[in-house]
Amino acid sequence: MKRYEFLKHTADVAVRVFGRSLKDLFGSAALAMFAVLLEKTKNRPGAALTEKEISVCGETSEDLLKAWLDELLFCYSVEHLVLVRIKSIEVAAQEMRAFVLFDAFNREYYAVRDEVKAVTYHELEVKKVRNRWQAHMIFDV
Amino acid sequence: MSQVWDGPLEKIDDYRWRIPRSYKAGMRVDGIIYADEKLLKDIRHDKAADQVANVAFLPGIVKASFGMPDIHWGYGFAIGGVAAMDIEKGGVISPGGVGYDINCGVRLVRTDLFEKDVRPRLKELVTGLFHAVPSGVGSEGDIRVTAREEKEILVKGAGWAVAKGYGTEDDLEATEERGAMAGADPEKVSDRAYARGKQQSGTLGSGNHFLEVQAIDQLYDRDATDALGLAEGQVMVMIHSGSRGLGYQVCDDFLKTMNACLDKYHIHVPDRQLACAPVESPEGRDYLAAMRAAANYAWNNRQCMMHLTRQVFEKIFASSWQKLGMRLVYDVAHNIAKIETHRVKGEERRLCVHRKGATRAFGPGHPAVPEKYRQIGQPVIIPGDMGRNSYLLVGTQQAMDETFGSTCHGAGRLRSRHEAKRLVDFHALMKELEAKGIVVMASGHGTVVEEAPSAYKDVNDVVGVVHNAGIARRVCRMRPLGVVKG
Repeated sequence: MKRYEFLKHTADVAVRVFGRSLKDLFGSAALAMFAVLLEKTKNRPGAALTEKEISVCGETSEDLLKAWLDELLFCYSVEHLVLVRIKSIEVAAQEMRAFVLFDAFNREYYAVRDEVKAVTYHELEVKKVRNRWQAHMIFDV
Repeated sequence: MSQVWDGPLEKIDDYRWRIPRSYKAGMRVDGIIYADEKLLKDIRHDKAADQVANVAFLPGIVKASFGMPDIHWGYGFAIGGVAAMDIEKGGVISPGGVGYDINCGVRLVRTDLFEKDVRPRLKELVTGLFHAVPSGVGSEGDIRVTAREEKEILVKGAGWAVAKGYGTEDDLEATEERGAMAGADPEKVSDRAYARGKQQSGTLGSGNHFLEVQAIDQLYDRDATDALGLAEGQVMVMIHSGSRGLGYQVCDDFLKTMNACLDKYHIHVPDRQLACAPVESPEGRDYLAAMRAAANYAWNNRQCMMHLTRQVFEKIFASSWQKLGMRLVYDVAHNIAKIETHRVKGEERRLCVHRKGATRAFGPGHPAVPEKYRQIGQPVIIPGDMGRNSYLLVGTQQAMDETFGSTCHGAGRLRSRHEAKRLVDFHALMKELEAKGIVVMASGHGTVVEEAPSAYKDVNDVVGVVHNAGIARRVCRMRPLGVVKG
């Protein structure tokens, strides 16, 4: 199953993400954001990964999704941590928790793409379409 | 967006178009877009005009929700929008009306050098600038700042750099707000924002930010160019950058705050990204104090980059920057909200003027214009794309009368970044620029392709509209010689 697709937007990056479940959708959204941020250029066998617990709250699924991506963006922009794998993730109605494995950013292994300034509220939407989940997001780059 | 926006655009004259209040229930004023027939076609190709109409919903808005000719689809507010709210009448301030990159802006530095002096050493110069001014994503500045100094910067703005020896009083004189807005409160800036802005002082950032070496290729107003000490062929430096991670986080923090208090103030907005609060409310005041702090951070940032630029010129041309005549012409903010007094229906009103992708363009005689420019009006700097031109204009009385002293801010995007990536071949583009004598250095191919000239409207058309509409006056035009991209 395709996990995300980029859509047309004049100034920024609009993306539609897909998931079999809500937690799968949150995983897809994280992958999509990191695909905007950078690209892996070389494999890094045996890299020591950093594990972090991320837990956030939000009143709606949209708020929760934004809060989750905000945390990941903060890890990337301040601690220069690159998402490698989500070890476990639980998403409830108004809170979510995940254990995430990160690699330290290194120009030898990653090529930087766009700087994501923020995950915007503009046209932010999470919905269930038949038995699948879909979200629409716009990143300000 | 592939479909065309087919909302109402009534022709007022050749350069002004109205979206009547009747277009959407809830609009408090009309929308007015500055454009000619050619640019209007581009404007109809995304949702920008609809966003101009949405901004007209905001409490306290006076006159009209304005769109400049470089307008394009943003989030909440369009990019290229001007909206002023009457503070006494419950007028609001909206972080989305400023944007994430608070005080993204442009500064223009003159030199006594001419193209013939720079051309033989252009590659060396561009390489030197590329290495001296850290640019790309996550890059950290050479100018090291302690945590205590960080807070000082948020209050003193460019004055911090000048006190450190990275410039002079004259630089501050030639900067909007003298490089620091009063009323900035570093305590209203979150720890997260500090963390994101740390070690980014003196860094360019990525995306559309750049540092360019340019040559003047056309003069329009000899009185103004004489007053500014500018001649054809003269080499200029333009720096386009903003408040980096610190500003992005301030905007994001306050969008959350204001989304949470919409009900409290009985405000209905058609898009969550338009979240706002009355200027005279705790949330509004706190945002204004934090926004001003971020704006000051950006002014310091551009001052630091100008200092690094002067050092590179000094090294390459073996002379001091003073002897090279590297004086700051002016520095403008084009993502900002300001409390200003303007005449509305014949009455002086205190307004909160949002300029998101719009430049202040105060006319001759205004006390906020530096004394040396008071005769000609405030300098307005309009960057174009890397293959075409950039402009120096001045503000006009007509801009004061019509648009709260505001005009356009750049060329304006035409195509999305992804579309540009799909359509533009990096090597072909570099060849094309090389044929024009333009040297480009960037940290990655991606940014260059995304910022290709074909991704933008022609800045000559945009500037033509504001000039002909009278909301700014052309002074001179530059073309790029060397480009440094993040």
